[in-house]
Amino acid sequence: MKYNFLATYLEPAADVATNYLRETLGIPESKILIETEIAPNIRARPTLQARTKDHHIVCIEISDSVYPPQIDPMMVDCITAALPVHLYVGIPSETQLTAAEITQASKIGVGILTLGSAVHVAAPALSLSLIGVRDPVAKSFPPKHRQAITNAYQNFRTGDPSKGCSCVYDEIERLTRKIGSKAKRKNWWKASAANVKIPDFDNEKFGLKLLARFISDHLDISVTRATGLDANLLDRVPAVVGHRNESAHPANSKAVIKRDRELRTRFETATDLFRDLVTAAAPLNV
Amino acid sequence: MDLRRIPVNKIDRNRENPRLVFRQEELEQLLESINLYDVQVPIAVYRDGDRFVLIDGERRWRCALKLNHKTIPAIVQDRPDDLHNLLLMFNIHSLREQWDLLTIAMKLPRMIELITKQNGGNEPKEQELAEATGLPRAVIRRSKFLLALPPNYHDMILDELRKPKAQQRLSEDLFIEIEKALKTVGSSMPDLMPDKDRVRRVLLDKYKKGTIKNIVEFRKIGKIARAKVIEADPVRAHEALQSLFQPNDYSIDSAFEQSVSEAYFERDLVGRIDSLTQKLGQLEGDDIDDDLREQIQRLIVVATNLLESAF
Repeated sequence: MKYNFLATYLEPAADVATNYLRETLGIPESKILIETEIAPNIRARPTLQARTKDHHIVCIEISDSVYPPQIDPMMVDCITAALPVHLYVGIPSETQLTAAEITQASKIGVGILTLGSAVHVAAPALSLSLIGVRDPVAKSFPPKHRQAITNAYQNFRTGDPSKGCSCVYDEIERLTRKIGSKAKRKNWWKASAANVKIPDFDNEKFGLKLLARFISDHLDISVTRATGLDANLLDRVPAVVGHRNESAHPANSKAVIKRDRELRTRFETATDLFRDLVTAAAPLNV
Repeated sequence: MDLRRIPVNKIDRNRENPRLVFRQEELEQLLESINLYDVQVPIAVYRDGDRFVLIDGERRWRCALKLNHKTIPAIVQDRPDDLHNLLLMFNIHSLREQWDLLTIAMKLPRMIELITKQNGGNEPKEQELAEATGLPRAVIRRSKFLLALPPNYHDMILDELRKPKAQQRLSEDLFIEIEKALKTVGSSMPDLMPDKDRVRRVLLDKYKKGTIKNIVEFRKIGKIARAKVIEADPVRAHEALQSLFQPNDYSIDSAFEQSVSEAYFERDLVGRIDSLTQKLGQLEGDDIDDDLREQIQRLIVVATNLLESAF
């Protein structure tokens, strides 16, 4: 008997899922683990699991319900440990599946496979190392920034965390440049700027670090009434956006976990900074 | 015997465990509870070298394994002999949740073999088996019906048992009812059963097709076969069963109606009238109130009209 937990009548479905892993992801059968722990601190062993070439772990829990009770502890622990696990629930194709169940699964990042003569991905699985990222809540931003924030969050959750971060960095840069340009146009500078060459804020050859530093040093916030736009806030811009060009392909699972953890923190820090910047710059109407 | 936490991955199944089917829905319910509260009731094991063998608690062990628990509370007992090992499992379960009947049936020969060996070659009687296993005699008798089925039916039942309860159709009770019916036919009208398995297959097909609607209907087959006992026409009963045992749309209900239905109705009525007469005979004048008087008078009218129309 191959399985300790899986009911016999679900074994054909598990065989279909095994074939799917073999044929779709090119994982040899010998590398597909059955009811084996993902890591020592993860409650619940998935029916099937395999490591992909890009160092992710694909897990398939075979069940005849979309949300069996073992999914909960498995998900919570993987999210907490930031494991790059793509968790699917594999259900026999004859099981009734409602649209609400698919929507709910997609919302929480659990994939659904229907297993019959063919395998259908009813909902894709998201990496559990990424879905734990804090929702920036697009509604908390002014309408003109919501689309960008939503896209960034979607990119992050759906498997491209670097792009998710990048989108936020771009928004921070755009806003910083707009603040500088308007200050230049309106001459909102302190006396200290009188003998200094004011950079061209629209010119990309001027780095963000330099521009933020210039605004922080010379913007006269008493004129602009943007009192929140102080050195404390503007100094965070180069610190946060400074990571934007760091990109490396992780060499193993540990590196993926490390990268995803760091990107999660960076994404959350960047969206927080962007919200603070938008709030502080509101009196400028940029 | 001692109680301690032992490593989950050092535990093996007991090859003598009669339980063959572990239902997903039941396991998932238990898993949910163990995830919240851990294993609250220790499992029972015996030591086998550096490993442990389960005596009781396979479902709890499976759930603990699934939940990646490292240890589980266990009562570690001395290694029992083969018979004691099997008896322990039967007795534990006879006091708790009952196994599927087929699982008991499949282990009965092994149980009989071990007890026979212990008794110096004397096969145990039904009563002795019941006492040893803690099972009621009726359960042993019903298990024997299943055991007597050809092996392909065991596989069929097992396949059904493995399905979620809501999807199960060919239950153990269905086969027991069929076997009981065929046993009666075999003793009352043996010429109808030259090939018992053919008849069994026909009845099963009729049940699957819905010609026979529920398993209680099979009891009527025995009633038809006993036509002689209730003074019904045995030839008509024989013809009805002969038709019933052919692959057609002829149902048990039709066979019953066309053969012995009236005789059973009459017997039933006679029995009721006899019982009523006896009860009325025990009454005295003081016992009769207005309601009773009214009903007795109604009875007299109905009975008088009936008798007058009969002559």
